[in-house]
Amino acid sequence: MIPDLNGCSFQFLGQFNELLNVRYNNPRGLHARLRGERAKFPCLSKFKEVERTYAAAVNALDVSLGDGRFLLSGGGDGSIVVHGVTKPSTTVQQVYPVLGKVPSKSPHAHDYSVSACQFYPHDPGMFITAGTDCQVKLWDTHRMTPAHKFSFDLPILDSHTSSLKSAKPLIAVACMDKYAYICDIRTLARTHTLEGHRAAVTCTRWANDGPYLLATGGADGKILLWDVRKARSCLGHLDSGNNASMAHNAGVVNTAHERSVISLEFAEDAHHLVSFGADHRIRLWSTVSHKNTMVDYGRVAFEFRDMTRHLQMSMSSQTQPSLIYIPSGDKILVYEMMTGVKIATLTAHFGHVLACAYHPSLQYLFSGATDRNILLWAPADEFKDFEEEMEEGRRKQLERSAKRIANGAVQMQQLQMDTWSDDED
Amino acid sequence: MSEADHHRLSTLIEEEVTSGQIRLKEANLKDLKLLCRRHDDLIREAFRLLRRHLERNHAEARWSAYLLVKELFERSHLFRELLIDDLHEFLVLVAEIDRSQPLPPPKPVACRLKEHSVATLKIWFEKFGNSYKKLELGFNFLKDTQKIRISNASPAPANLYVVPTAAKDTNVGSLNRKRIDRVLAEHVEHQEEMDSLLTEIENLFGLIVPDFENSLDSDSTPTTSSSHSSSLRHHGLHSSTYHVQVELLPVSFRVNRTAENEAMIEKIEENSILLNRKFLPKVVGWLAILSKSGAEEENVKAFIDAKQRLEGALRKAAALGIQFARPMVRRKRAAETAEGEDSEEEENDFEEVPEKEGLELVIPPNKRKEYGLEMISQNAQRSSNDDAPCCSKTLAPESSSSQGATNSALLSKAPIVKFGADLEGWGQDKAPTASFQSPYEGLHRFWRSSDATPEEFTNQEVAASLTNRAIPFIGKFEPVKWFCRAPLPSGQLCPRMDRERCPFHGKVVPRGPDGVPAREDDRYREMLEKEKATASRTPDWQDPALLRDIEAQTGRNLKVEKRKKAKKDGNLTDVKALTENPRKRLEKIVLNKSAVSRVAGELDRIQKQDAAEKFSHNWNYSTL
Repeated sequence: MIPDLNGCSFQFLGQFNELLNVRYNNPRGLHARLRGERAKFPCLSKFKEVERTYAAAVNALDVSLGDGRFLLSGGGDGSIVVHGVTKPSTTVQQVYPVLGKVPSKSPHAHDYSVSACQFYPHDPGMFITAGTDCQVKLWDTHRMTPAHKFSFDLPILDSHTSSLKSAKPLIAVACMDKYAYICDIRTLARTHTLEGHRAAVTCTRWANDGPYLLATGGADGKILLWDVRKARSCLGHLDSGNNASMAHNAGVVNTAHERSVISLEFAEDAHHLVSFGADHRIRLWSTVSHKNTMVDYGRVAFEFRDMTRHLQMSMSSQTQPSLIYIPSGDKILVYEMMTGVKIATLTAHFGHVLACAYHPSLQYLFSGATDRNILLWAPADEFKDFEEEMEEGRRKQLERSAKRIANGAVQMQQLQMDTWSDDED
Repeated sequence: MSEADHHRLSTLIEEEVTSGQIRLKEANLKDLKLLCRRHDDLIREAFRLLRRHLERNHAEARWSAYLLVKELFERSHLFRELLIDDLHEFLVLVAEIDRSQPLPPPKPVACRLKEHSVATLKIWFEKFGNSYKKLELGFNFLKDTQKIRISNASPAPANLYVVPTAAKDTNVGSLNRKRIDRVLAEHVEHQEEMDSLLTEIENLFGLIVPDFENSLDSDSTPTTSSSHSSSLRHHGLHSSTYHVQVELLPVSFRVNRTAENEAMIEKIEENSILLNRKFLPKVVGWLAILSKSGAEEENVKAFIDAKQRLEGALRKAAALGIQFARPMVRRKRAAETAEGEDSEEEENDFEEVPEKEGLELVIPPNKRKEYGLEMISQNAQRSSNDDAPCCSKTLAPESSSSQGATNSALLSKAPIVKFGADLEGWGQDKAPTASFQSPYEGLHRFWRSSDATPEEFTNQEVAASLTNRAIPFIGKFEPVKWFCRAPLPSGQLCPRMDRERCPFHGKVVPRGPDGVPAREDDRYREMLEKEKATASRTPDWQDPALLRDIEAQTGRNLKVEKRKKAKKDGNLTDVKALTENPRKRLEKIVLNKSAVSRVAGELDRIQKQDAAEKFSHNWNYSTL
């Protein structure tokens, strides 16, 4: 039950990052381009996989920031699991083990499904989960027990904590009762109630460019921007047609999406906000001008009937180009953020994909879906040399066996070969 | 790879998918595999086509497509990759893993498809699971998430669903072949005998009646004879155009038996009986078997010829008056009686029954007492004497003969009316009344209102029915004496005799000798109708005769081709017909929009009425 944090001492990657911080993190540098190449075409990893443990849909995913050693996930039955991601192993073939789990039957688990989960950005020893049982819980990762609960009146659809170092530890909570709330971890109190949406708030994200800036998306199709320091905190709303000026009222009819906003994500460069709506559109907003950049991503399928739903999209980190991973039906779509070009379609899930999480240092993508799997998508050529080696070995073995077959000894199974042979007779 | 290959591929797949069979044809499958081997593009094309066929709303089409997919999956790595990339959709289409997308009808095929596809996935997983990760995921998904029970028993081997080319429709075909062979063998066996009999009989006909055929023919066609005019003139006749028609009645060429032809006739008789009894039924039977089991046309033709020859011979024999149609003794006897040669024989068919003693229906009077009938007859006599007023005819008072004559004359005229309640009180002063006592009279046993006479409540209607009788007057039939006489296109006048209205020309009106209405307004009306008719007719340029002429001259087809709905489904079961049942038909009537709205409106009305009755007074109390 208690995750073995000390065992995961695979830390050189983090140190390496620190050392080469300047060159490594240059957004247009060689490394960024290499990472971009890796992250562009993920395919189902042949060697790594995440241990299967869920008996329900996987609703939310999060990779611990910084070292990226842990994968947190929340299930449709209220269970919460922590997987160890970079536990070293001697072989290439690897299953990421479950380090800690709160089963759905446990008294600590959420009563209903978990809608969002996130490691505390500065310390994976704590994480935050929100559930449709109207509760937001703070957890101690070592003990896998909740340290505090915030209770609300209606189900929570999303919650988020700012990862900026300058930001105060505040949790933004998107609740179905049309309000977004802000909870302070330090005082364990609900400090703000943000009023402006006319329907359920479906998603919320803290901005990357300022510690007090918050965006919320609602089932009314609106995206509102807030400055939590101000008394009148709503800065304005985003308008898909760029018609309205940034008026200080949220009651204007023009909306960001024609239907519910499903997902929000700020780009790492802090200049852009990506939103995905139930109107099958993705929109890229400038956080500087608060305008729609009119990048056309095409139509993106959204297959759910209820609009008060939050899907977790994901962004690549420190890559050139920046990539977005959008869950759409049973597929994951990979887009170039700035151009709107669809690069790849990832298909392997057998149910609706609900969440994606990008692993920044390994350029892996984790995805959870209603088929109860967490799949790991790795760069196609991740273990290319290893594969080549294996291929070489296999070929030699085949040659040997071919000789033996010629002698009439053993027949070797060739699984990835065409077997048209019985046509010849 | 070429255009032809692509075309061949699509036709092969189309043919197999629309075959509607459980199994694939081996030849086609082999062709398909050979084609796919040639180029990767063809495999991609095959996958695309099969994928499209899998989406069809017909379980049989999906089944065949699934079988093809299975065959190719086992063979091609590229095909495997393509399919596995699309595994989720594939499973939705064949294994029904999505409740919102159930498999299409017919149901039994859908069930089979589901069962087999799940089992096949297991086999694939066991065989290829290590190298195709998604296959493993799919299998786990079926097992764990969908909770589909995957049986351990492997499904029927793949080759069970492939029809070997050589043994094409083995069962039926071979059986038919056997039948045909048997018939042919029998024919060979009997042919010689039959032929000899036939030639014999035909030769004998020739001997007995020379030129039998021609004389038989001539009786049916009237013969025309004319002679030269010159020769006729010698005989004092001017005209040469006399046609003398000699009609020969179809007389049977009954041959008199003489000592000379006795033997021949006997031979003919013998042969024809044999042919009729033995060979004719046989030939007919063979023909039936051959035509049923689909024999070659030549064989069937030979048999038909043989049958015709046989029947011809028998017909000739019948024309000669030879009795051959008596295959059994009983029938022979019947034939004889019909001719009336000896009718006693038929009477002999009845069994002679001896007179039965003991049971006597007519009991002689001296034995009545013995049978216990004495008392009954006495009682009957006494009772008939006692009842003096009797309505029997015999007791009616005798009238004098003179009166009787006038009476009978009057009676013959008088209408006969059925006896009824009105005749009962005929001629009486007080008509019978349909009365009953007041229902309030006897409400108390002792007390009774003094002034209230026992008044009778009479019902006027009932009373009237007791005294009156309604006799409907029908009138006399008058035959129609006039014709419609509207002008017909043929130039004649309409000969229909309708009383009021001709079904073709409307109201019958007086018309002049040329069929034009005599009255002005009738003429005007008729003109209007004619105009209307010409307006609704096809315009002149569409006149079919004209169009035909133009077509003949230009050689072009001017007809606008009616768009035929292409029958795409080949041999697949008609799914629409499956759903066509009495329930659906009734649903169409009962649940159609107008009916439903009508019923709903009626229900609404009733509800409103109820509410109005119950709560109409509510406002009366509110104005305080």
